[in-house]
Amino acid sequence: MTISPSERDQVWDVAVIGAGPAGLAATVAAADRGARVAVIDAEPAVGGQFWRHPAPRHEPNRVRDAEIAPYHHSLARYWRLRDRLAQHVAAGRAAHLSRYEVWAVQPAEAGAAEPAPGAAEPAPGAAGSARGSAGSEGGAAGTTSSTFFDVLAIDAATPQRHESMVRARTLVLAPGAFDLQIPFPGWDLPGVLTAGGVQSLIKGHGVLAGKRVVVAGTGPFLLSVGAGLVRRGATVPAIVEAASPASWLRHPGRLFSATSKLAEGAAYANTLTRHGVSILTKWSVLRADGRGRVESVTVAPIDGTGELDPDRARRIPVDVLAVGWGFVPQLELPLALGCATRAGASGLPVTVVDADQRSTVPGVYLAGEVCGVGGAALALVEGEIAGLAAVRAVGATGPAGAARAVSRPDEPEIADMQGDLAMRRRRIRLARRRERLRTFADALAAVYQIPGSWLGALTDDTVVCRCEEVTAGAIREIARDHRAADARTVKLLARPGMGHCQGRICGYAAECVAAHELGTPAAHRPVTRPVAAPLSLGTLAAGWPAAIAPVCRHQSNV
Amino acid sequence: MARVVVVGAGMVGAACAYSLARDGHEVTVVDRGPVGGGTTSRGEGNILVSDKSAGPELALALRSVELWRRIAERLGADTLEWEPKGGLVVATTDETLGALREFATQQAAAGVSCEPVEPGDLSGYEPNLAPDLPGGVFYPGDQQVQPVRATAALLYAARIDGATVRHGVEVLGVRTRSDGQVWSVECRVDGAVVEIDADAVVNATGTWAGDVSARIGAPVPVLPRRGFILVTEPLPRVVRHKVYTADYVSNVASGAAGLETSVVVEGTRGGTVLIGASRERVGFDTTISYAVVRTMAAQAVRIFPFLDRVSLLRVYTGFRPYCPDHLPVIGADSRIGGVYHACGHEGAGIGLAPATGEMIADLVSGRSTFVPAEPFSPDRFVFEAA
Amino acid sequence: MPTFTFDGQPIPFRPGQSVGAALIAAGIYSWRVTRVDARPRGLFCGIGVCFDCLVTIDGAPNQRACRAPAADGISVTTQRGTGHDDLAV
Repeated sequence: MTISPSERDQVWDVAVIGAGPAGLAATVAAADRGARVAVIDAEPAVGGQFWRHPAPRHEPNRVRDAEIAPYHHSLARYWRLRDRLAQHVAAGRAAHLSRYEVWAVQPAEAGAAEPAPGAAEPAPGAAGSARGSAGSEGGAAGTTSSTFFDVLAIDAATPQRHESMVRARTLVLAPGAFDLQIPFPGWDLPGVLTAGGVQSLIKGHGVLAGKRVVVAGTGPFLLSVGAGLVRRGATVPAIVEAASPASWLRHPGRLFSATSKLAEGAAYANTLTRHGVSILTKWSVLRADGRGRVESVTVAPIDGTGELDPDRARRIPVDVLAVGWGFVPQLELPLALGCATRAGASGLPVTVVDADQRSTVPGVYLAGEVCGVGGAALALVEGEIAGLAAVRAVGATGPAGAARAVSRPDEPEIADMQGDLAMRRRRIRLARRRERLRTFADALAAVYQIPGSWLGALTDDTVVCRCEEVTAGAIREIARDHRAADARTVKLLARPGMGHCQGRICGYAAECVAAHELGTPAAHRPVTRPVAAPLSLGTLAAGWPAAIAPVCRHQSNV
Repeated sequence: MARVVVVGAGMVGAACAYSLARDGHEVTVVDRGPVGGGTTSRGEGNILVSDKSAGPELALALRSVELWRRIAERLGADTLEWEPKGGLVVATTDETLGALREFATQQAAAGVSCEPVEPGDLSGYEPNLAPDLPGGVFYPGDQQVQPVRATAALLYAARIDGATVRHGVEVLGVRTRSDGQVWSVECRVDGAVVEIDADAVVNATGTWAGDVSARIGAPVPVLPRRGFILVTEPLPRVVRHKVYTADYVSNVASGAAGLETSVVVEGTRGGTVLIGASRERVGFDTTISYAVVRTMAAQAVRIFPFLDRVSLLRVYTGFRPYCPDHLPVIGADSRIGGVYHACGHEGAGIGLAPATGEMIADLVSGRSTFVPAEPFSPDRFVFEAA
Repeated sequence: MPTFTFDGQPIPFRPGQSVGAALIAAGIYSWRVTRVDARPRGLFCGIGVCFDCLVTIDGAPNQRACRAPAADGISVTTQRGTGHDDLAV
């Protein structure tokens, strides 16, 4: 089976899913080398959660950028990537599909003008389902693989939520992560928000979630959120950190491995100190209280046995409580394609990738938090590596060397050689940098472990699954009666994770509660979710959506 | 009383354990996974008479419907999420309606209660149905359970009657005495090989029954088929009964080959609506794809237009373990004394489980069976192979 | 400043803000009543993952307030239960 020239025109070289640091870096790296790239992202503007900023408005960019500058690090890098992407879009090499929510990805085979219903499509979630005919069949000139992928996405900008399809020869998945949450009495009161939610209100909407906000949980992200709040004028009575970051001192070698990260942390700490914010370490949330809305949070120290000590608890009046316990990688899309996973540093599954950010499925590259939570700096590196690798996999199919045309337009061969050398050096640098940042991330994860104290503080009447309103007591009873400790069985018997969020929020906790009840360790196996974003049955029933074809304005310009 | 090892903690294994334990047998249920984690967790929980034509399977289904009612009375309808809601089969074309009515007439002669429904009366049954459907047939006998909860409840009851349930146990084979009778079941537990003494072994491993039967030296041909189930966002009660399209009937009538889907739409206690493929009477899916999902969505929206604006929450893959002759395998295997099979129910395992369990218990206890067991005998494959 | 209404009350917003952000800025923290225990809910994850902030916008239920862009003149109303009570039989 071969891809005909007309079909090839319908197929992008690379589809990047997610336009956060990883996706943006992958997009620009691939487009810089001449690949035709579609970057698909749910937000109005590129940047992801880290570089989240308000949707485009009429005033000049720089005004808005200046306004948000205090809340962003490495903004210079963001501007460079954003501007470079804009150039590629203008030149027709790339498309930025904003406000598109990807609900499914699937491998497809070449040869069909439209996806043929029932034509050898493996089961979603089936391991190795994308291991198809990659490289095994003679392709058209210039192609190295006849396999391609269909990305099915919902256009959230249209009220009808129309579905579209992007067909690409390689995928870079960079869907990112969301806040890991654990339940405590009162956590479903309005006014209790995730730390990420509080941050996104500031960064994305210019809204302060509350006037008096306690930030609690674990991880350096809490400092960033606390600093953002006080800079905007909120009172932060305390940052409640369950871990004891002083244990950093036991790993001095790691301290020097990522000095810029540390500088970032120091800047936050400085801000917090200046505003007189106290940081309680080895303390955690005991409960939140309020009538119809959070009014106070009670925090307590974690004692020598690892339990919260209620005798030393403090009740702090608040109007908002921000909580975060690290991050959960969004694995829906990698799992749907059959990408292998492993247990990450937090115990939650992360994907397996090789030195080129290749997943275990040919043609699928992964970057950013799905490969292990590591922050924006690591995501940038992984994204660039993935973008470069994806381009190598599809070969030079774009305009005759976009990068070359920039450097040595008169002497393309010399430019090629110089380009090869530069590329090799770049890849070596990226590999080293990734290694350093990964070591740092692993060290961070080792320090900021979620303590087990929350399980003791979790009363039977506390809701664990917010969607289906399943309590801790109901989960414990099911676990005891049917010896159900794994997430799936608990879900099937007691319904946690059956609702709108499909266990994204409660999955970790529900399994911990059941396993703890039985005295077994929680397994945290990856959970497949073949529907990665909501869509209506009417949209499905309407049949296959039209493909968004690559734009090739540059060809008509030449 | 016999020491019986039931292999498989799914719906059928649980029903076998339930009946065997009530008979006073010393029952051990083993499964390599959790309760109802395989085939059971991947179905809709259908308990149907409506889709079965006269024959041995219908006899088993009619018995099961009665037994499910008794189980619900004993264990509590809420525990099982048992709902005797009845099934409404609707036709989308006049041609299909004709085939459906004819099918129903034959079923009625075989003891199935069913009532033809005129187009004007459809909305009385289901107010949300499309107004332009030509008619249908109502089957008051159809029921529904939440399959994993029902399995867990039956196992729980079996434990109260003395049964032991062990998870994380993988069956490797059976050891026999010199006279060829089962002596013990060889298992792997936490990497170690252990033996469980047994006078009888029941293979209730659903989709994996072909593999397990081969391991114990009494192979039966059970093959997996897959299908999809779509789950909507939570809703109030929007569908009162199990509602099917009758396409499977006309498929049988026309002998049509290829992709045949015939959807079933039903509400659940949890509020979600399930859209599944009704038990296929002709070859359904060796293919699973979003194309099939789209077809199912279109069929569901055709009969329930309101679904158009309802969100899809998840899709899961169903298993339908089937035998080449599309009848379950229930009974003693003449090749090894003490080996019984209870598998191959092809998407009807939940519905047929209690009568299957009863039949196994009757056979192990040496009683005559309520429903004639002969058509389900594993020997039909043994002699075929010989 | 553009406004939308929440249960009839005018809510001003800045272009680019989500419905949820505008409600929080106006001091409103809950706009959904759960279907089992009738508990109040509002913004939680803030990034489209948790579906706690579901709200009815111009009659269409189950819109994520954190993702739905605020728009001039839209009518946002508290969502009770599944938001689909009109379909109950």
